Amino acid sequence: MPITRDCKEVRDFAALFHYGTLGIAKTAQDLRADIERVLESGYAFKAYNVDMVRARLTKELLDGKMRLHVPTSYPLGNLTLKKKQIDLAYCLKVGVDESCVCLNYGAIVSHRYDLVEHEVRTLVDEFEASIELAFVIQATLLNDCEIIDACRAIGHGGGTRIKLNTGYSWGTSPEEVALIRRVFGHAFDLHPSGNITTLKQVDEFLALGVNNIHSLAVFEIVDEYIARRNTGMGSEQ
Amino acid sequence: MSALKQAGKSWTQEELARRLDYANLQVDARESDIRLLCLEAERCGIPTVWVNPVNVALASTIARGTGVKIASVVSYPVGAYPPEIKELEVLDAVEQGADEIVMLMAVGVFLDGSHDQTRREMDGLVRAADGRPTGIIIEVTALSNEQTICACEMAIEVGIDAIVTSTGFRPGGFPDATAADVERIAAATGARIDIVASGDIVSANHTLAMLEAGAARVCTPAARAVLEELEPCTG
Repeated sequence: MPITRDCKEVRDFAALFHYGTLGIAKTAQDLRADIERVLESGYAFKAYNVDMVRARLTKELLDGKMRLHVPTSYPLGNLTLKKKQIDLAYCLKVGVDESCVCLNYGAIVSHRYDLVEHEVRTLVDEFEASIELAFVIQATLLNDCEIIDACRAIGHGGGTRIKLNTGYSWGTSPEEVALIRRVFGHAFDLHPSGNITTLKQVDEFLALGVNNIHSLAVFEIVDEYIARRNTGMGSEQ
Repeated sequence: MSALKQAGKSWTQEELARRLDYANLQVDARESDIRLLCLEAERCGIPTVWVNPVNVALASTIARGTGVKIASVVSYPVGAYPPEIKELEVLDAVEQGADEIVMLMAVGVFLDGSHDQTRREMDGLVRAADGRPTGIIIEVTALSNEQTICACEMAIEVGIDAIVTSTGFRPGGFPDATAADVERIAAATGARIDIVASGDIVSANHTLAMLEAGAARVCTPAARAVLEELEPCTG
């Protein structure tokens, strides 16, 4: 029997994704139109992502139908720890459900993992009870050793979720996810992000035990999933 | 001393250096990169370096006693923060030792037509900078001519010192401003506010074209290379 967008199976698949409207020149009108599209689709994505300046409006538009995600220090991680605390305090006030915090990449590439651990520890201690935090390592900038050491520092700081890239054009590869899995097993909830635009890519991440994928192409990917199921073509999860 | 001619004006290295801001806003800037930035600015006679907030305290310590000023780039590279949060970021930058503040406008909010909010963020910048020089990045190529003039007039009214043309951020940003954009802003604002041309300006000719078009200064990640097109910076 053919499946459609309304099927539970399709909705469960769509629920694996983070989706949203981010960017320097995105207007309130862009946001309203996009949220309208999401709500009309009936998909309940894992969360809807917006820039901080749009957090209040988005909270209102989502009206409790989806979790709200606001990135912190996005996308460069270039803020002081104090400013990251200020941002998360604002998120808390507005009722943001989750945030991905871009780490201080200068510290990572300088191998100052003590600073990374301190940053993670401070934010986890202060906010994790109220806001679900993922830490962005920007894996594309790092070599394998730096990826491992950055993850270790996050773990030592009490972080349990790792987003591999900001998604700002820098993409995540399955090899990066596989590397972290090999070293740390399932100690971290891994969130691939960036340039994930096809079902084939999603298949590769799912095969690695990932269940939280950031993509702006989610509608196209879900359509591809439906088409594959209905034609019996391609690989299956 | 070598000199470069543009539109009939001859520029010495020293004159050109005084009109440059030297930026390192790289995502992976290391401590050594910030040291080099400050050292080269001092050697080449460049008055100001631009760094990300996380590097302001370090740059400030390195540059102490050299005469090089530290500009913190706030709300960069997306600008999409509420005004009250931007103001707190400016205060933080001041606390870290910033001598100047350059803030990216919330472009999307401005495009909404929410000019009250844009004015509030500009007011907050001036207030929190507490007398330090300020600049506002307007990402001119995201705006129409009318919107550009409107943003500039607002900046002038609240007392901001400089209009900065572009983020220069790649990927995902807008095209950089051209000399024609600078001319357009200069024609509309006259001498009421400085213009800082920024973006991917990495050659002496491009730099001089921006200055000739009316920019008071040019912010570049390649200041030393620009100056060394005239002669080596030995300082």
